Amino acid sequence: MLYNKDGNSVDENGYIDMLKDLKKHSFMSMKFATKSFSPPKYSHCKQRHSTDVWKDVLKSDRVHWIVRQISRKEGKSEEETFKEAEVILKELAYTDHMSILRTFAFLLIQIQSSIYQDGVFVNVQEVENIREMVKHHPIVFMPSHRSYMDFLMMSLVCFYLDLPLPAIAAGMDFMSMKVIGSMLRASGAFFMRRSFGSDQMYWALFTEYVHTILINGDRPMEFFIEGTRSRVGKSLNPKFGLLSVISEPYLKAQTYDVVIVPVSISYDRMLEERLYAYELLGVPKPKESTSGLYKASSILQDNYGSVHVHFGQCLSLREYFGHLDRAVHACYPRYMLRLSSQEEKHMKLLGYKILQKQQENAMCSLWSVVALVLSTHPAGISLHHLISEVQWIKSIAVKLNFRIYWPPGTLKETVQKCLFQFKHIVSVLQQKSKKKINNKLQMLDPVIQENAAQYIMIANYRNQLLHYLIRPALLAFVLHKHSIPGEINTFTKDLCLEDFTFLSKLLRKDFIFVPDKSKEDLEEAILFFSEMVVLSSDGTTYTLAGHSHRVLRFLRTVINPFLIAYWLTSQFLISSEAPLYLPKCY
Amino acid sequence: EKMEMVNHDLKLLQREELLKWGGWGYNDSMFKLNEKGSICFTGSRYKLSGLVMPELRPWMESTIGIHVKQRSEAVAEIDLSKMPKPILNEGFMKDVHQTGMEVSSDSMDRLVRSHGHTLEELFLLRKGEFNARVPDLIVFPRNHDDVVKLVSAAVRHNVCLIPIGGGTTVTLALACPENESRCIATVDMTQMNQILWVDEKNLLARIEAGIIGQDLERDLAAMGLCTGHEPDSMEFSSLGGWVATRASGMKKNVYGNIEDLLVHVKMVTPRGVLEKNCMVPRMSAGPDLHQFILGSEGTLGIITEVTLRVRPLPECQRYGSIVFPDFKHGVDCLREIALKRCAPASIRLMDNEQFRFGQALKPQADGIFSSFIDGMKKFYVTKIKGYDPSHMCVATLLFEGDAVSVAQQEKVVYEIAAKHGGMSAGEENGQRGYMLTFVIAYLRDCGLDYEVVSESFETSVPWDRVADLCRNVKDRIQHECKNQGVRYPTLSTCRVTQTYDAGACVYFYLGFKYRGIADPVNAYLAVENAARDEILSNGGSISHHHGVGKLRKQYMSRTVTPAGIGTVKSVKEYLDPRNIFGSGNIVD
Repeated sequence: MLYNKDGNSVDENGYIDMLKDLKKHSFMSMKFATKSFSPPKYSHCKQRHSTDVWKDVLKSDRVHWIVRQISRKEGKSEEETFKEAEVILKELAYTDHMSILRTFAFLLIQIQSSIYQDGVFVNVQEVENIREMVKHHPIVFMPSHRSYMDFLMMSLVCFYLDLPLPAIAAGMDFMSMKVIGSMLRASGAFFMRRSFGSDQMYWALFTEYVHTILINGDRPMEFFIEGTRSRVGKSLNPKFGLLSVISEPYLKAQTYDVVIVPVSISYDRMLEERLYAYELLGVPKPKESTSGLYKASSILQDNYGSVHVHFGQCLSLREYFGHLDRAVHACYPRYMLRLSSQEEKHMKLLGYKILQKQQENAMCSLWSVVALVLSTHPAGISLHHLISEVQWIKSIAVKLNFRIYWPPGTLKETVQKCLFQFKHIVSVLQQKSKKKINNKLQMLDPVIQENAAQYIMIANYRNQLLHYLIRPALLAFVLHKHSIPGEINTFTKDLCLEDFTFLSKLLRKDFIFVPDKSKEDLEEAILFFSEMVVLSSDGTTYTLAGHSHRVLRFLRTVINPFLIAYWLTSQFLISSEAPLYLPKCY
Repeated sequence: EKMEMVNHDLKLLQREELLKWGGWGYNDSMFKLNEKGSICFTGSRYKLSGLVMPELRPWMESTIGIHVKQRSEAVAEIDLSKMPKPILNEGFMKDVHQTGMEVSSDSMDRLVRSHGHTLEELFLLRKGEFNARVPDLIVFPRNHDDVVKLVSAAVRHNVCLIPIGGGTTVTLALACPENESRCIATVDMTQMNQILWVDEKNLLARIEAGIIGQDLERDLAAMGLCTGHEPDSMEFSSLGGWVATRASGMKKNVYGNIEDLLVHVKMVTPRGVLEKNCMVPRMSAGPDLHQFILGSEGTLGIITEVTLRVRPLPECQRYGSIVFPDFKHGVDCLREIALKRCAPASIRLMDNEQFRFGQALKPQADGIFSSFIDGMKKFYVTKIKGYDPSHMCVATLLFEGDAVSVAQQEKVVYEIAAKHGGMSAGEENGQRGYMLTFVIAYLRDCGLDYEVVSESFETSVPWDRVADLCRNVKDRIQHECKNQGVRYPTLSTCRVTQTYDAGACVYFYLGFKYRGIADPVNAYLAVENAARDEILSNGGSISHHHGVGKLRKQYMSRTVTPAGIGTVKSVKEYLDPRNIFGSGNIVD
């Protein structure tokens, strides 16, 4: 293995820097791209070429069944329908070309070495386990999705670690990119349409395509459970369609197990930071194109800090669904998509579980802590005050085991370094030594308040941390509502639960809350405050400590903007005279 | 011929004079280490008898991890004085004596009829131990009327009856329920072993249920007939047992399974004799009561006389074999053969592990020439055809019929095989495969001598699930053995032994060396239960032909729904309200 051979060392958090040696000399990228690559193989895998993969799809029972149905319904010959199916599959399928992949790796590793100047860190301990798992079970990587870089990063890291390269369920938008599209395809991407809800044929072909790869184990599968890139730094709620597709082979006993590996990819600085801010301000998302990418290459001059790629613990579907009797699928053909209500229910919970694992393993940056402080001081803050606030948050974070990467050095040095790295967003005004959100940035649309984009960028970096704070913050609001200043305030869980549940339901699209688990969420929040000695308990009632207002106020300030947004929207809707058209699901 | 039929009528002898009390089969036949350190097969009954298999020991060493110095021999003699004292019912004894049928309360007679051949039963015997409850006495009815009298005496005196035929059950069907406080009389059917009549016009034969398979076929053969029913246990199992467990014969593709062969049957129940009033090929008269007798496993009454369809002996028998590059190709080929309905009398597909096991069972070549031929064949298959020895597998075939139709069948089958990458591997390999069927059962005892527990079990499964089920169950066995702390390689292998329109029968073999495990039997049971759970989860059945007994009772509700259990129970409740047939098989 490369990382052992070259003596690349593991840091105290269990990570190694993939780029470490590459910076030593320019020929190292060539050495990287031409390194030996012998990943472990799934023991039941029957070797086949990537064109045989989609050809086998055409031979499958599921596709035969659907072709027959559609041909009959539309009065076409089956041959014709098969031809149409073939076209769709060719559009969908990945190809394997190791040489293209190595070229890709060569280019990509150079780009990465230049932009991720602080390194790309990978936790290697779990990787050993995954390398073993790969031999015995089909594997599904489920990375968090924040950036275009995510799937390139995954493939590159797999290449580096001698893990088999995944087949990646990618959005159709990439396919239209010249050269890059086919390069992506050659390195394992297959392209799915964004929505194909009612297109039976597409659904059947896509499902079968994923199944055949998964069952035969040609490659590990990779897809993003959030469905799309989150533009705001927070996790998006899980999508269940693909999750059902990859669970089906286990539930219908076509594989012994399917092993899910949640992967958290955390960036110090996002390549798309401005793009996302403008998108949120209503500037349409540019269409993915190679020339667009070329134009964006100017962003490749900057330092984007470090990236942490964390492979989470393997999650076996066999263990997860172990209590369900798979024989419920014994009495109809397996190609018919049908899951029991129990299975559907557990599938949903699984989606949330995976997302929570991704959040737990994400490595937050010092910059996100700085952003958290800045976001609570929109008018600016003195450097001294900023550092003391960061110090205070650090004390909380250390106490409660938040995964935050604190770079070596004093906080003063590291915060200053951080501010320098993000000087395009914040500026330090020397005379007053005050942080100010940069307003020199050119805005596209003069109607928009001039420095809105910077605020959004700050907020997006802040958001990376919020999964640690959201539950206690909601409880902070509840406590605030029920307490009288200057008195000893006591609470019971039951008293808090109703308001807490209301708030978590209100914010269920903003944050990850497992449905119907408010009780557990409340427990978590109480635990947070108990650890912080904000609440003390005699078993049934909780008493608020006198010194607690700082934590509580801080948490409320952090989450306030989200509630205000709902409040404003509600105000508008109530006062609006226009008829309301509400989406059906409400 | 598959086996040398030595002139031993099982029916004329007391079985214990001929058969082992603590292992499988004939006293003189076993796998044994010879003075040169190779494994040989003793005796003179089988083709393999007296031969040395030089590859077998290395195979057992590398595949299961046996070590010749790590032995676990069975006790030489069993101390019968430790046997539980019989619970006797004097009134019943008196009534039975009056009928004139033989009765025995001899300890050895009771011991050998107290068990079947599941691993846990043999493990106990080899240690010289007994179950807490064994039969209190053995009765030997001579004919149907004896059974009628016996059952009514049992009802009168509230005695529990457990019928036994060949005693080859592998489901604990003969084990006496531990909490049975009544006298348990085990009814040995082997004295009822006559072919009562043969009706050549209608091709029917009425046979007493206690007849042993090989005796039946031999007696019929003397008349130029056969039933064609050949389960792997046919040397020792009885006709009544076949009906009671829904047995399946190797050549069912030509002759049918026991339910297809059965035209008429008499069962003596506590409510009286249950039978139909005619012997017709088919009738529409409500639910078919035969289907309640078939598979009743001794819980409703005693099967006394069976009328089977018989066939003229086939003119021509030919073996064959096909090698496939891998198991999946083999399954696809069998599926197509089943689809085209051109299956030979028997077709069996062994997986790669069994293929290699078969190689290990090859007797010493008798000359340089034949090993040279073997070498050439191997070279051709692996190098020229490009088969990977670690994936390839073999199907064995048996064709039966007149010469013309056999030739036709062969042509069709080999053509289909070629389409699936299969290549004929000769007649001899096929014949050897079938011969091994009978000696494989002896191998478990040899394993037990070297700290290895092993067992086989079967299921039936739809075609589209065959390959997945085989793979998953084998994997599950491997995983569960690891969980149980097995320190040596586990043998986990399977074969497809029967094909139907809608699916196949799959047989699994599992074995591991238990050194270092405190309770090998429970570890084994945990593995087998895990495997059975995996089978059911994969859409397989609880059993294809072994039955339920007490071993698989726990899976019945999952198999037939609680409503189904209730149906079975209500029939039992009517026919046997006092639970005279109290073996406790199938349902509680």
